[in-house]
Amino acid sequence: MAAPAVAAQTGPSLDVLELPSATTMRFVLLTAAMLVAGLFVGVSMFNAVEGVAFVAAGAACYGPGAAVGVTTVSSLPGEVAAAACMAPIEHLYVLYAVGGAVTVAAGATVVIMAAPRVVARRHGLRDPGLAAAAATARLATFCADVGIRRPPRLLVGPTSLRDAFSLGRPGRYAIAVPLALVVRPHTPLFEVAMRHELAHIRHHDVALSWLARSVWYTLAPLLLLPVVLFPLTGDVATLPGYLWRAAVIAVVVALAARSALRSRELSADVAAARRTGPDAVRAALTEVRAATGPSLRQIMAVHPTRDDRIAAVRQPGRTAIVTMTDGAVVGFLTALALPVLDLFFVAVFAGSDGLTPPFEAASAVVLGPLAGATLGLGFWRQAMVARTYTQQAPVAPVLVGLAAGALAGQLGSLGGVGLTGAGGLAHPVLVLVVAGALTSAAALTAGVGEIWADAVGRVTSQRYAAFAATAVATVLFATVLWTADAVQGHLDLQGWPAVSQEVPTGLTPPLLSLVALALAVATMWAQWSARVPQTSQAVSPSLRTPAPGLGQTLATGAGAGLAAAAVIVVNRIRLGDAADSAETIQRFIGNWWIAASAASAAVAALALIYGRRGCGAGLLAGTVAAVVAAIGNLGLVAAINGALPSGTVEGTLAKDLALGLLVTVPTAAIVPSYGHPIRSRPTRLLVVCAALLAVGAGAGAAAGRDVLAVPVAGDSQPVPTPVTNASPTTVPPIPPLSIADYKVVARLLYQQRAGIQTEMDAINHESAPATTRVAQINDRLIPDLQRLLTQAAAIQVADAPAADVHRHLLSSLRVTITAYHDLATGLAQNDGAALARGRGELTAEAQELAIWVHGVPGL
Amino acid sequence: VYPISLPQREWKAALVISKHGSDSDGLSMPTEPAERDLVMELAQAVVELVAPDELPVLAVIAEDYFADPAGTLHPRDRDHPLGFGMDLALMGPYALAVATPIVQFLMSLATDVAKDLTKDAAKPVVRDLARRMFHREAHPAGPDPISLTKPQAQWVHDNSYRNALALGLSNEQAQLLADAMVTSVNRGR
Repeated sequence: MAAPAVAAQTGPSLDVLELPSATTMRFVLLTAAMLVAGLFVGVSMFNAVEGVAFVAAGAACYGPGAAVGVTTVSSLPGEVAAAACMAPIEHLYVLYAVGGAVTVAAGATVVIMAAPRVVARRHGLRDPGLAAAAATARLATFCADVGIRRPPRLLVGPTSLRDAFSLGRPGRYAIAVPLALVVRPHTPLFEVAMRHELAHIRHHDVALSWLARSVWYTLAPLLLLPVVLFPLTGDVATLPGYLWRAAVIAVVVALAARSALRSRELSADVAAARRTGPDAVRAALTEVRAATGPSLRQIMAVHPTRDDRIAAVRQPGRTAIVTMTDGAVVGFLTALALPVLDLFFVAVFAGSDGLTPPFEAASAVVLGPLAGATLGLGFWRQAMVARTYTQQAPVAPVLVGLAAGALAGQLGSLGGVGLTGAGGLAHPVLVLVVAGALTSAAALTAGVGEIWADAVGRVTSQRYAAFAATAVATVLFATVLWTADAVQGHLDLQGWPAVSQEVPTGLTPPLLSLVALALAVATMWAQWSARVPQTSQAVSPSLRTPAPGLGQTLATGAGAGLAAAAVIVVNRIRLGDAADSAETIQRFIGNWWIAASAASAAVAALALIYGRRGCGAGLLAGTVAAVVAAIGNLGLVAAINGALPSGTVEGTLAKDLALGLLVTVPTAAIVPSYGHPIRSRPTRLLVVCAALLAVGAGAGAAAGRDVLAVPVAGDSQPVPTPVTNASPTTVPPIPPLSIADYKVVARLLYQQRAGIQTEMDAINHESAPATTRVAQINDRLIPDLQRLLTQAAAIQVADAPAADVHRHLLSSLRVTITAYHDLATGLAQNDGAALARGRGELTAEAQELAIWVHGVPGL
Repeated sequence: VYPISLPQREWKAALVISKHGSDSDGLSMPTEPAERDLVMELAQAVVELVAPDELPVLAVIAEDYFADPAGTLHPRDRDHPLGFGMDLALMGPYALAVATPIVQFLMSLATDVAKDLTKDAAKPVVRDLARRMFHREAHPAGPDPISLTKPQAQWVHDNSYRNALALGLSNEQAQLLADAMVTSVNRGR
């Protein structure tokens, strides 16, 4: 797609080439996606060679007709045993998969090493000798100009070679030059062509393009392997689904690589024009093959049209614009690789234990940074250039491209081969979750780019700001991809009611709140930097547009947070006491949603008034709103209960921050941030707007709590009658675990414990009558704790230090049970001593739990 | 002056001289090393006029051209990744291609001059006569050079021009090449 039209170049000069380029990350993303496709080839090999053994192992370890379900404390022992049984074959699966990727990587390395010689032979390139002495001398001069210390070799082609091009590998580059240029070393055309080629070398284009091409040259024949293997193993039904996906991948990889190459050509032209002047390059471009009109040939071309190249030389800022194609490529490659990586990491993590692992997090850690860095750097560069050369380029086409690419990538992913339902999902409509999440993250990233571009030239250098914008986008994309992938998978398996109950535990881990805080601090730093009067001439005053100040952003967040806190108070007054424990927990979670809606309102207000920059500032305002709402919520609890129970503050803040971030991201995409910035500093308007939106959203969240926090159904598991002293005999014996196995089991225990913590917080939080709270403790909380203790006590660890660490968990659970017994007694009998004893025991319990939590990673 | 009747054929047909060699693309090619030398000499004279900076590499160009004339004149349209994207052609191959039928034409003229000689004895005479048409200063002691009549010179020009256009040169380049060809053939007149 052609870049959008931009205004004529005005304002002070800014060297676009000095700004880090996002195309590099596009090449890396492309290469990573192809390596992931290599994983799939390895898995296909596994299925062909070891498929029968795998099925047999599954039947032997899990028993025939074993159902796939959610791991619970009750199912833990059986699953651990089955997982230990499956470990060897799962490890083999991983080895095959890695083998596929390693084969692709190794083949690519061979291609990279051999390519220069093959290319030279195929084109008949030769050392020109003395005939090109003048040309070689001029090339050396140009190299010195641009700081290339080791000039590339000059090779001459046969008479049929009519174009100059670069080849080689890092440190050993060469430029193939046609005879027609060699004989005219003093012409402007020679200089333009050589400077263009040197720009390719200096920007590492040769290495990057050969990296992408060599991976593809190796992958392409390997993709044919499953075509042979499927029929051999009798799996013919899988073949059509595989074939069309492989074809789509082949086409998109080719298009993506060529699109990236075309971008690099524009940059090389601009680099040449920087030294020779634009007129010389424009004149040289008359020698370029002319392409006519949009055609398939043009889409597949490695060079842009002559008109586009001339336009780029005239307006270098055009090369920095992020296009719809850029968005589509990032979306497609990310979504293409995600399901395959998920399958791979399931085997990696589940291989030794079979438990529910954070495989989505692992996939997101691989892909999120690649997508985030590509778009983060791209949007920041675009924002920088917009301040000097052009009008703001629209972001909407990029988002549309990204969404379309992400949808197509999921549907075309090799991860869906052999699975029913589009995208490998039982509910294909859920592909919208990941596509929407990526689009939202991109919208927010565009705002982050603006905020960090504002900071440049004041107290922040360009490179520092580029790094910061990229880092923020990286974290944002990894986080969003992780959560979206998990939500999509859980929704597909369990539906919304179950997922809504996981929001307080698995989907909002403490790490997410730390991420929210880190992003807020980064945004605050950028806005703080932008406060200092500008010292650089990089930004044209005429193109400077209003941006939300730090004070305005904080005030907006605070306004939204206070409004949400008011909603929580009013809601509590309106509803009165909770009827039962289920409603208590539901209200407790409902308050998190209200706080999160405050974050959303703050972002919406800033985006409506300040456009894209408002979105970026929303990362700070949203966090502030969530914190203020959480403080209001805690204040209400303290006012009613007289004190804040231990752990309540941290728990509430962490959950509000985490959920606030998750709600902030989609808001950035939903709110149309195309409004013209208001030139005055509308702090009051912002605060009022944010507060009104927060009231509306909070009231909506309160009214829709039955949807957002679906009431917990009664536990189907039998509740053990003994309140203390766990009975290990009720659990099948588990063989002693290795340290590695124990670490995974500990993660599951932690998740279960975190779920119970939600119940504890809800009981501590709500100001229900004493009889209700006693019933909640006795009927629900203590049985849950008891079950967990029973399972934990059944676990044996072979290693002595690990066993010692595990004892702290057992101790913590026993003390917790005792503490709640005392609290229940104190509440029932209005016994102050029992209440005090219970609170003291909870403090001791927290210490024991902390020792266990911190001790496990150290094993 | 030895007038001859001009062949009234289309320009494409002019390139294909049945009694001489031609490659698969219909380009007329010299059949003997001596004829190839003549073509090279005439092309050198032309290149000297239209693209003198190519003279140092004309031998290389000729080697490539005679090895693969069609591939040299019409290389595959390669869009090299990381290339500049240009389509920069040398004049040398075109001069060689256009000079070949002209040399063959000149040799046919010379053959008429030497028709009284036996076949073998005539060959060097014919070559020398043909050479002297465009390279006469190198052979001051030989027989009188052959000069082309105006219609013959016009034929050389028109043929060269049409062939150059057919090979893909622009009108301006074709005109330049044709003028240079006539100038070279009538050198010293």
